[in-house]
Amino acid sequence: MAGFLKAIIILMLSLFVAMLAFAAGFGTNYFYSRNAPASVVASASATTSSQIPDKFGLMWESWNVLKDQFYYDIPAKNVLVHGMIRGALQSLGDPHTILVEPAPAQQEATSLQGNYGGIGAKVEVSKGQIVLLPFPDGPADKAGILPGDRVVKIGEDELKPEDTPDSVETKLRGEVGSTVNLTLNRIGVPDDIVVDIVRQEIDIPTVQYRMLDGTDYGYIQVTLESGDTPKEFDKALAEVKKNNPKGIVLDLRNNPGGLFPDPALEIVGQFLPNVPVVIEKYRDGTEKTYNSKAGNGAGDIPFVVLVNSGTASAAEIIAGAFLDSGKTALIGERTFGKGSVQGLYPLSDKSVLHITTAKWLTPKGGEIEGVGLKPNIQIPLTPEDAAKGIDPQLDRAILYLTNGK
Amino acid sequence: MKAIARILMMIVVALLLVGGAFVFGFAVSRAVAPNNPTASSAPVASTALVQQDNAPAEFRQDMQVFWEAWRLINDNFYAQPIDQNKMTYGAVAGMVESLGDEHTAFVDPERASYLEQQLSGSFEGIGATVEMVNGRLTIVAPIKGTPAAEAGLQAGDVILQVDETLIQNMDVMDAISIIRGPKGSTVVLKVQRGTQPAFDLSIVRNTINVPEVETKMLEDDTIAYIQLTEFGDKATSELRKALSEALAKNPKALIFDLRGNPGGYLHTAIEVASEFIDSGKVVLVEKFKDGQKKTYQAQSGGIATKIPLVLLVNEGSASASEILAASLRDQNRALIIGQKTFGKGSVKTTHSLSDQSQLRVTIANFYGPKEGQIHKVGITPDILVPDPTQFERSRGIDPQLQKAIDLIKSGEIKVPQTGSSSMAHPVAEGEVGLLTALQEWIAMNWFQPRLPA
Repeated sequence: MAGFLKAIIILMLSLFVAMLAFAAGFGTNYFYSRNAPASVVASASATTSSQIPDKFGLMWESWNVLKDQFYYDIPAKNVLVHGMIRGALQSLGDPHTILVEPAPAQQEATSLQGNYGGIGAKVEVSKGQIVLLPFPDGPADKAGILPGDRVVKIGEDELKPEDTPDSVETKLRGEVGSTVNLTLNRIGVPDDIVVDIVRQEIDIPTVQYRMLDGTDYGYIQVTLESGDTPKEFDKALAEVKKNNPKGIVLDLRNNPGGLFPDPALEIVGQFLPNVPVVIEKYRDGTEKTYNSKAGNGAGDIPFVVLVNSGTASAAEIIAGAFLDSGKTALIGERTFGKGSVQGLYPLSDKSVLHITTAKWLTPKGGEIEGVGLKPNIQIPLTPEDAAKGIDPQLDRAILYLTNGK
Repeated sequence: MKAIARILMMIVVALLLVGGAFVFGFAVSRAVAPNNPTASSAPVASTALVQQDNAPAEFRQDMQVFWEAWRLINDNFYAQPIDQNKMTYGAVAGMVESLGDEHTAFVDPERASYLEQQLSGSFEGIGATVEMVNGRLTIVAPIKGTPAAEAGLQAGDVILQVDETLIQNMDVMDAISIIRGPKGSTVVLKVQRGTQPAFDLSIVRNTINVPEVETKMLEDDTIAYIQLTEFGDKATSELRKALSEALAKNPKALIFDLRGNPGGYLHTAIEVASEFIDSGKVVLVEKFKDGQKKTYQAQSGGIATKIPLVLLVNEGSASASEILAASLRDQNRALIIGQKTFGKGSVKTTHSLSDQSQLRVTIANFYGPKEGQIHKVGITPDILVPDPTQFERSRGIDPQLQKAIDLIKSGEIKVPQTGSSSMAHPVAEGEVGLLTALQEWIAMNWFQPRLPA
């Protein structure tokens, strides 16, 4: 009997020690992986990343020729090394994997001081080009800039290969009331477009709402996802619901994204509680699924979602969740196609690498990056429509709520 | 004794349990948090790479950052596997690009073979000259008798898509490389013509021979017109043939058109100049970084050294074209009409690297016989006449050519006063090693390049 007791005690003690050891192991790796590069984790690439590539001799072969023969003065070594890094990144063909040099980051810090303003547009990369995604009703939008317009020049300065969305955003900022001159290139338009835009303080609420004139339908527009968006959205929904709407149009057009994941999970959850919103897929094949919150503020009210080529990133995630749910329709045009996640990796010389580390897929596994989402009902909004003040996409959305199709 | 054994066994079991649990916990933690793209100890990890790398001493310190980045990319970039060779080519190209000279470039093996094809004057494709206009790939002209011409492709057509690839804003060379392809294969172009809706055009590729010289006789055979489109492999022989045929008709003057000619081989430029300039006269002077000079003279045997000559140039005339313009001007050999030339006066050498890739390096600048600056300055014509507008072009009106014809007809272009120039340059004998310098190129980066696809 005593032996039996003793055995139990020993067993329990052992289990306790084992649990401690488990915790220690867990903690050690947790600490380790937080402070070590992911290479320690990803053993598959350990060999490539710890070896000099076969053809690297070309670098010094080239250098020796240049050193002897290049006609002009040779820049400092760190400039050449940044060039090497930029070239290596370019070969990956991913527009979001970039090197940000220390200078723009510092500029950014100074430009944030004082009374700075912007043009009201997010700067993104599309097909290797730096493009603008204007916020609804911001200065850029009002100046007629369309989502996807490519930045050619800011003032007299042509964009350079080392420009990044961050550096362009910095250049677009300035004193409130000052003017920035932009030269843009638009697909399908042969000549460059030149506009002057007066910088403004960009502080527009991210959610707008109203009842649609002459209908029983509510309209909620989300222009950007920020920390305030969930709260603003709750309020908008509550206000719209006071009118007992028979349906709601959710307008995500020209919404360039922003903060992820909370606003997206919140907004989807107000319509479809506890459903998958997006899958984050890592390079080792593992996945993480984000589910919507339980809000369900809209109850059973029918709804429909407007999107266009200015709907990007976090806004595309929201749209993707609705698209894959089968419970509603996306109406408008194909979305922008920004569905990847970047990690920021500081280098020892204070420059920062932005590396795409994961992709966002819709709940059914649909690709977003580079392709965007195809709406259930495709209908354009031409510049002529806009000039006439008509909105065929919104009209189609109302029709959808009326007919259910 | 038995007790000791039991205690020992218990210790062993306990250690195994503890160790196993530790490893298990470690593994679970890894599975739970597979990605942690925040902090990094890459500097430490990349030190090993810095040590393996045979970087020259002056680079060793700065290369630390490069290997940090290299590791971080390999360890974290989403799309796997990463092509290490491609990334290496990218790195070398990036280093060369950071020198800030657009004419100094690293060319990977694939592109190197393209460039060789380009100057050989023959390739497999559809046979249309294209250029990038505001990011849109635009047909300049289909080449006569080619699949592009037979399929009805027209000047001004915009190519939106090649097979499945959208080509808006694409590098013109990349666009061409996907339009070109093996003889007999089919390419489908999505074409936009004016305001018509875009349509698909299916074209079977063939071997395309691009003539480098075009000749016509004007004004009842009284004026010969010869256009040279590039200084490639065939330029010298085609020009010689064109000249002898044209001169046989005894024209009173010759118009030599180098508009839009982006250059080519240095030795070809000298051969072409030698047709117009008396043997022994200076064609160009090369100046190297260390101040050394090298002078190149016209070779003997030129067959057009006496005929009154008008040279047409514009802002698309670059490098080898500018050598011609500078030497003809400095030797009082031609009247130059048109627009200021491009201003590309640098000489490049092409080095073949160990794996068939190439490094093209600016090694010198060249100057006309009077040693006037060409690089970034260009050559200003004697008579400035604007390029044809789009409207004029579409109606076949060419004010520059017309000016040349008018001046010749009015008798203002005379036989050159040979020997009148101040040719005091002592010219070293045997400086013809140049002819063998087939590796020397000039200008492959062109002003609004118009290239055949």
